Amino acid sequence: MEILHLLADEAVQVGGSLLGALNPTILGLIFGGSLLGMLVGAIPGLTATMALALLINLSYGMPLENAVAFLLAVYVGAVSGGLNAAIMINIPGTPSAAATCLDGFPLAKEGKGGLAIGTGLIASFVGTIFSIMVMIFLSPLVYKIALRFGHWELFLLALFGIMICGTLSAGKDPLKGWIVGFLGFAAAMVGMEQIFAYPRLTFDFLQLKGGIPLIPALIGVFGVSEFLAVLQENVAYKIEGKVGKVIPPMKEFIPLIPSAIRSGVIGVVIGAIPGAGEDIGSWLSYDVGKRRSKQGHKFGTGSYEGLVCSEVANNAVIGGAMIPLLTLAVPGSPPSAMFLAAVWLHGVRPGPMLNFENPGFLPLVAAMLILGSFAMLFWGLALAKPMVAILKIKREILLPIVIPLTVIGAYAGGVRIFDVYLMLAFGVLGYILRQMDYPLAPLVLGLILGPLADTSFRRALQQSRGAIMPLLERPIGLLLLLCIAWLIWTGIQRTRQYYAEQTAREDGEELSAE
Amino acid sequence: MAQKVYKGSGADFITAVCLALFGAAFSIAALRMRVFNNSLLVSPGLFPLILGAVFILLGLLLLRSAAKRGGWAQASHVLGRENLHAFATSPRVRKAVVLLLFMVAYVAAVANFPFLWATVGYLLVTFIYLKAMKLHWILLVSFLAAYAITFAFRDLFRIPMP
Repeated sequence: MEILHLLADEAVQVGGSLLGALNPTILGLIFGGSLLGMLVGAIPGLTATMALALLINLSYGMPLENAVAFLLAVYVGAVSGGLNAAIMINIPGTPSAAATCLDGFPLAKEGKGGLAIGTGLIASFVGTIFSIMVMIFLSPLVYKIALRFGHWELFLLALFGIMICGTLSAGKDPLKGWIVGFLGFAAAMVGMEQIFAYPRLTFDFLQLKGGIPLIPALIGVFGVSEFLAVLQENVAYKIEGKVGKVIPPMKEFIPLIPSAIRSGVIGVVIGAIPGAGEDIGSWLSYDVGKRRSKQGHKFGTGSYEGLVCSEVANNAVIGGAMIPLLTLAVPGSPPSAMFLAAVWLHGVRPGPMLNFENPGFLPLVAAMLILGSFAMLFWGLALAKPMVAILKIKREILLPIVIPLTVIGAYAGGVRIFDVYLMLAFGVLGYILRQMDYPLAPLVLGLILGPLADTSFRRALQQSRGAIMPLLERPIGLLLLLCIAWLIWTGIQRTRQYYAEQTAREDGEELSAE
Repeated sequence: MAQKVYKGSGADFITAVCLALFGAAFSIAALRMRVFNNSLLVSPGLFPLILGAVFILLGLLLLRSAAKRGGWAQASHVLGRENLHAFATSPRVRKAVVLLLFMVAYVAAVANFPFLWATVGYLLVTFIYLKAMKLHWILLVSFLAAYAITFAFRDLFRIPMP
């Protein structure tokens, strides 16, 4: 009964936030942010995280409500914008649209590019709205559980976060994901620690006393490294066919409803897993859809169902990623990490206490995401044809223009040139990791969760006077500990299996060459 | 008989050694962080010390896997003079290094010159290097883009600029 009361209260607050947002400034920011997000997302090589990295600086001077509206509209727009390039040129605008290429491009070759874009946009809209509904109804429950978390549980949550993020984002070699996650933890150790204000690993740099600033690090890892990696490749592409009709007939959608619901659930679950992100949600949903659908054999040949599986899921990750972010301060995806950094700058501290400190924040996020989804659908359908024209602009022209924006973004937060150099250093680190096939998401998650892990671990030990046994008797902690042990066990098995398969394949190739 | 070498084992071997060394250095730095005569359990160095140990462990795990796949032999080849020369002269690496150097120069310029002119210079040089378009277009686009960015951020949104 109490839960129902909470949910009803939440729904009323979201309604209130929606009505409050219906003013020209916020609507202008939402539609402007959505358009900018879609433009950045449409350009191959620029991701949703990059869109937020480039545009975050515009939100510095805005009041909280406006900044949230703008950034969430950019987020929704950028995740959806990736489908234009995926369908028309077979190169995903963002990694989250990679699975969209498989069915979108064959449809474009048949002259149905416009219909594929329209279907993808409607699927994206459905995915976002579905995930927002789940977020509204699940978050109060997670808050209730999160309030029972002590220091020990918070430490284990941070550890679980980077372990699962490393496992999921590194594909078949979880060891690499964990290494990067712990590197993020190590980077987070720089600066004054939170219990004794003791400066650690600052190497006498005054600028490092406050720790590594999150926004320059994020811009470096996702922005600068992407710029270097994309421009060093010479990839030529051509636009396939004409766009044609964009809005698909409604009757086409009815058979796709079960797939959309399944993909929405997958997207939300993947979104709620720390650091997993839109691309993993999209691929997993496509894979499950292919195996579960009666029309699975048509996937990859221009199936609208395949397109829906990918696009519903990648957008459903958005709402899913907001659940751990708002309730536990653990971002569910790299773009949501960027959003977390932005709201920190505005003095909002997501986490178990958010509902007490900023009771209207969750409804505000939900309302802005809903409006952002409508703006995305409007721009996507209205500008489908001009958006394709943008793809004709060479990346050699667009990408260098991005660098001054990253410089402003890194500088404006702390007003220090040092932060810009730090951004470059993280850019180089990100570039090297990319070249060696190491995932980047665990690095960022480690950087965010590092201080929480460190402080919570030491405070938990302080409370238990150094004894481990009392900590092991706590049920939530025990559950998290078991999950971490399971991740380590299965991760090591997967890494071993991956290398065994790799050596066997190379042996086979050598034999066949002989 | 020489051990068979597999792809990526050299890179993994080198990474593993670097990781283990980094872990050792991290642990040593952590041991110096005890303050206020507090016990190790709450000292600021406790968590970094554990992290250092984790890096050593992860490094050893990676090293074991890389060594099984002929990592030592491959690492010797990767770090060989001929291979390093080929790496340094590869067009992909050169392009990334040049673009990075442009960025470093740009940041240095931004710190010392007006943002607008530093940006015009950066875009001009980068476009020319990438052969993005014809020279007159490069001049025009560089100036217009730099002006638009400066105007939008400094004057329109009043963002602090370098």
